[in-house]
Amino acid sequence: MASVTLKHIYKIYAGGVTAVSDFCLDIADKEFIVLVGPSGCGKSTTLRMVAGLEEISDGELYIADKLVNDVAPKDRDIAMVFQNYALYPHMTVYDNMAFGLKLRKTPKAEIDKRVHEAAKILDIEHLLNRKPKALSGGQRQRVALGRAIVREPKVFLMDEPLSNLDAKLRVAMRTEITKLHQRLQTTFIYVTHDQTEALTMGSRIVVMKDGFMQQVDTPQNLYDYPTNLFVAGFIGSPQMNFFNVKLEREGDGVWAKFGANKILIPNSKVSKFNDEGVIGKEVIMGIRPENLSDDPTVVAAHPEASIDVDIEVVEMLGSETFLYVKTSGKDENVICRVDPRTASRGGDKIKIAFDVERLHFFDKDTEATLLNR
Amino acid sequence: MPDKRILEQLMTMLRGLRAQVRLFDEHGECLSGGESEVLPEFPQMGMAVVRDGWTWIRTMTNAIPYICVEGEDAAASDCARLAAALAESMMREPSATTRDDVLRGALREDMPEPELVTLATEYGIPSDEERCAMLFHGTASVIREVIAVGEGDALVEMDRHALVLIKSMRNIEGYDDLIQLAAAIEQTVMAETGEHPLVSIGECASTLFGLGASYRAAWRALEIGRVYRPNEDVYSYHNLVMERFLSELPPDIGRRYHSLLFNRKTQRLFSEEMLQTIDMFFRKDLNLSDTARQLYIHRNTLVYRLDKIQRQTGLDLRKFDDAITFKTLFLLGKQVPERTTR
Repeated sequence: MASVTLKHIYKIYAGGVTAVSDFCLDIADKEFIVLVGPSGCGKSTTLRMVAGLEEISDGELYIADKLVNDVAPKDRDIAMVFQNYALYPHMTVYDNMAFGLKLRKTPKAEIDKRVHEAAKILDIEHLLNRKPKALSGGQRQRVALGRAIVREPKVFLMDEPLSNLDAKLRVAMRTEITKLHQRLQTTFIYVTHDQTEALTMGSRIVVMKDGFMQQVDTPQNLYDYPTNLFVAGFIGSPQMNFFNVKLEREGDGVWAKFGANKILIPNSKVSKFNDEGVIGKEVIMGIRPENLSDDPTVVAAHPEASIDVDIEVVEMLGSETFLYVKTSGKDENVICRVDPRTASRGGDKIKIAFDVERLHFFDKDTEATLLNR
Repeated sequence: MPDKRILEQLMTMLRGLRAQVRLFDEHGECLSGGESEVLPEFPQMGMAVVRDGWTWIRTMTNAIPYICVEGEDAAASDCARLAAALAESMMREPSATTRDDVLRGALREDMPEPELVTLATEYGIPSDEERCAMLFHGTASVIREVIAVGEGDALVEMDRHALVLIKSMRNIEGYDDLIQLAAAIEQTVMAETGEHPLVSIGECASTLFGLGASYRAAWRALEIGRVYRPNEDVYSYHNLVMERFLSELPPDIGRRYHSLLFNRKTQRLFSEEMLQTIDMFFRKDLNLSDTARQLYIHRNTLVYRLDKIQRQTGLDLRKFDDAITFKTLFLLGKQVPERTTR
């Protein structure tokens, strides 16, 4: 059993700076949990408290049902992979992987067995006699992972292990780590500030900001049902488009008005508002780029959900095209993800249609979602 | 009973005096081959006694307490004193100095070079070998348990919070290797003990006597690195050239130039987010795409931020000269403590 439980964990530095506030999380055995957030949000500090590299100011930490607040890192049965992993330059890959076990006076035969097993999993058996200088970046990353695997820990802790790799290698290693998790069947706690990494790797994601947990959920739920403005803007690339709108009732419908534009909100959405008093107020409306369409057929079918825009920039990426458009009532560009065969070009004045079933609404003051799930 | 080998060496040297010399223990037994004798009385320590055509002297070493030289004249007396001095020198008990003391003395530069060389020879420490001082600042007794000491290396505890790995450069190819090694040790220490040491690397020294300068450089690297590169854990004196230069400037001049760019007017512009952006842009060698990727922002957002800086300060950070100007003025705002002797 390798569950990890964090109960009301705080990290307060001298001078009163609170890096982590009231962090509560139950991580099940074999789960792959990702802590994600911008720099300074407390995710690495939280990971380091689990590792024992930072003292817990308040709260309780359990690993496999054992309270470990005052247990030394080497006795917590965890293995950590750092962002800036460093290999001993004068040791072979074998010796680098074996070093931690030698320090713990593990018998030679056992060391040999574990190193070869880990090397096989990572497909680096043919590199065991090489020195780090003779390895590529991805191979060195595997050796760093191997160093952790040989310890046969209950929990793997990874602190942005891919952030120093180039983009292509990062994508490849993401898959490798996911496969590694499936193979080892061990609990993984993974820290990143790349929301794409978080969405593709985690079974659950913890979004953090300023030391506080914002939302814990599956990747799809975080994407579809963000609990507040921050989560909505952080998860998803390109970022969700936000509009300052006023919700007004006109006749039978509720409209979201901004500038010279207005969008009719479907009743199915209105019924989900958690506060009826929100009609008549100014709120923040959000829509993801892929839920905006420049297809004339769609626009024609939904005139009540379409607005006039001026195309400023067109980014063609092959498999998709992004339109950066300007519209009344919004200072920044609106980003639309459209079909790569679009006829839209820079400088065009067109209409774009909102998929109104995919609208999000947030309170302007609290930034919390206004919609029930 | 003195060591046989040393006794033979002493006898060989005494033959050079061209006088008959005999050595005796405290019982009158002859140590240099020959009959035993009844030892004379000595009215005063250090004073020679003449008896039956031989000049006797009492030495200061218990290994060979009595020496006699054939003859009763001044020459014989001089020979006797010389022989006693030789015996005392060769039979001297080793001092309380340990191998670590010798290395510590070399690092602290509190031993003259000849004495250091002599002691180094005594303890089998090569005097002429390329080495480098690597300083670990943390709980020394905890850190030392985790450091693997290779052939030719030595680990010396300077005080409770300073541990020095004297690293032989035999299998090391330059400073990059040293930095890698330091980082690997630092991570191992963290993972095994929870300690988070700071590590600094001095300049390479080709002699044992030169290790002192290497150690001083390691301390200076730590002092400077902590100020100018607070997010790093490993500092190499060799790589801190710009920071070393800036730290030598008078603080008031540094502050004056720093305030040319960083003042009340630009306070809002240089928020933490903006400074992080600039720092990453410099780390990525002014590459826009790499920087944007690493910061997880759109390239246009990065360009917007750089344009904003250019509008308000006149510095286009995409240009090398302007980037250097910015970096220099920024670093001038940091204060390094006065050099300390260790």
